[in-house]
Amino acid sequence: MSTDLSVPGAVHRSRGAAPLSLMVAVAMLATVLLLIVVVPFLPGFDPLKQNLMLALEPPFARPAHLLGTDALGRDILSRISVGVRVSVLVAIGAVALSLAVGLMVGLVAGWLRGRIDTLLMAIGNIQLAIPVILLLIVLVASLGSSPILLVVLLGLTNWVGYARIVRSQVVSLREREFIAAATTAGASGWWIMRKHLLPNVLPSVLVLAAFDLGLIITIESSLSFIGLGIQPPTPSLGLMISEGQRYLQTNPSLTLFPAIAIIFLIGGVQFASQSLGPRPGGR
Amino acid sequence: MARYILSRVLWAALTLFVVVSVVFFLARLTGDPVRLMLPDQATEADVEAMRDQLGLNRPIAEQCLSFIGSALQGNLGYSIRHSRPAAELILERLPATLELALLSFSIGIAIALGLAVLGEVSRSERLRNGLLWAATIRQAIPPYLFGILMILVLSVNLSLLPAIGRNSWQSYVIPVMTMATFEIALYLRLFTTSFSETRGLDWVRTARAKGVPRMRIVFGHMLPNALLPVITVAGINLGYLVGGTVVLETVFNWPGVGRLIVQAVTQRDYPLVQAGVVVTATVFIFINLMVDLLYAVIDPRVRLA
Repeated sequence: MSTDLSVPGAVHRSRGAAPLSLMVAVAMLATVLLLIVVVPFLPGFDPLKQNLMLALEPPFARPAHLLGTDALGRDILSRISVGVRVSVLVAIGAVALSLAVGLMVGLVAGWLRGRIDTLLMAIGNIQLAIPVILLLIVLVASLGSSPILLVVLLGLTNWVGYARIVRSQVVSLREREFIAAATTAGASGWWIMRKHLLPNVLPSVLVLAAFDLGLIITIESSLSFIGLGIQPPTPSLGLMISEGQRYLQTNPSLTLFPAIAIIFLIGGVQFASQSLGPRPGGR
Repeated sequence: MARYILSRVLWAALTLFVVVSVVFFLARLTGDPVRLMLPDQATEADVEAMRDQLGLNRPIAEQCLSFIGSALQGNLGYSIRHSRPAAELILERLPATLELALLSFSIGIAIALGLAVLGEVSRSERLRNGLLWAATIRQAIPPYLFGILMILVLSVNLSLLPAIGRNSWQSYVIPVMTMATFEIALYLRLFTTSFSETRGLDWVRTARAKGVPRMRIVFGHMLPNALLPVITVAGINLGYLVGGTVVLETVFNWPGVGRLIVQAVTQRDYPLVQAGVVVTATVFIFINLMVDLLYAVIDPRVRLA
């Protein structure tokens, strides 16, 4: 099940040309960083303040509302800034959590083998058999939605890929001499997992984590778009696009600016992770 | 072979059992459905009577088993808001969802194959790279956003196509295009990768040295080799396709299961959410079972193992 997906970045690199995808990634992520870090210090930054007198202002008309205002007169630029920040934080938290769970499960399953291995991998396979968005919809419908809960839910529905990769690597690593040497020297299983196996499996799961970041941002914004992700009044890009859809005829900029932000965010992450090399573990 | 088929079928059944139980227990976490179903002025006695009637006073494991039992008989509970059997509502909406998913899947994979073969036969590295770049950029746009941008350009600005609904063949164009381009990006990458892996291998070089025409090398030698990873990914990808449909149906007002589920969530109609998820997961598990069996037909290593 290892389909090696090579990517534009890899193709460029193999020819020795400039990694164009890395330059695109840097440009996109720099814009995103600017949005997150600099915009909150601009005068007039307020993502929540409503002003119905100034509702649906066009972009570039007033210096105080550079990208215009939404139907409630809230500043679009401020809302995008906070929305991007929320998306990034939720995605990083979720990926870190699934990485931690996946590493733990993969190390334990690959090292111990036997029944525990079978059980853990069966749980993973069953989870893969449920479409993630559906699972998340059921979970959010029954547990409610807050940023922290979203991090937990997104993290716990996405660990299987990491666990599989780690497990398969551990299974082959444990036959190597340096592990046998550690075992003969009397090292405990926990020590071997932490000091010998973890450093060896970390690089490939970190690459996978970089790829997953874009996927998680997509899923989070999709959930927010259908109203099951980040809840108002906290601004989120998905919700802004959903609110903007009503004004598509008259004020397309309500949709377009958050759309550009989200494309830069996901695109930047994707191009950056592709310049790290092919995605491990297929898919 | 028979053993393999049997084990896959049993595995699918086990998965389905777990899915139904998980959905059942999650729905119980939401609290008492009776309070939602009865009007505000209902007395404690009314609530008790209703709990009895719905079997909510029985032990939770017994409730779960009876939920699974009636699900097996096609009874998936009763929608609170629609006052109709949930299974009926879902079966009415299922064709619209399957239509969208299958059309996009088949169109997407056909175009991806065409483009990948074109890139291979043309021998142009530039064309291949250009295609992969386009695929990456397409994948940076979440499906719902791509749909809205298509509506903005094709419906609002150019007035070429209807933006929402499912009334005429024109109303299929934007939704199918949105899903299909996502599929194209995915499979184009898979085909291209597989082609570039096999391009320099001995059996391809031998075929070329014998003077076999380029088209025949690609279709007769390289393509069959590329199919296995594509089938593997297709199984997993169908999950994303189903998930994507759930969200996209909201964008396009598409009368499918996805929009039904999302509406049911916002209206707190849990029996309907439960039933919708169970049905969609069943379809997904069934498709994956078919993929597994197809694998055995195509790959002798699986068949003989």
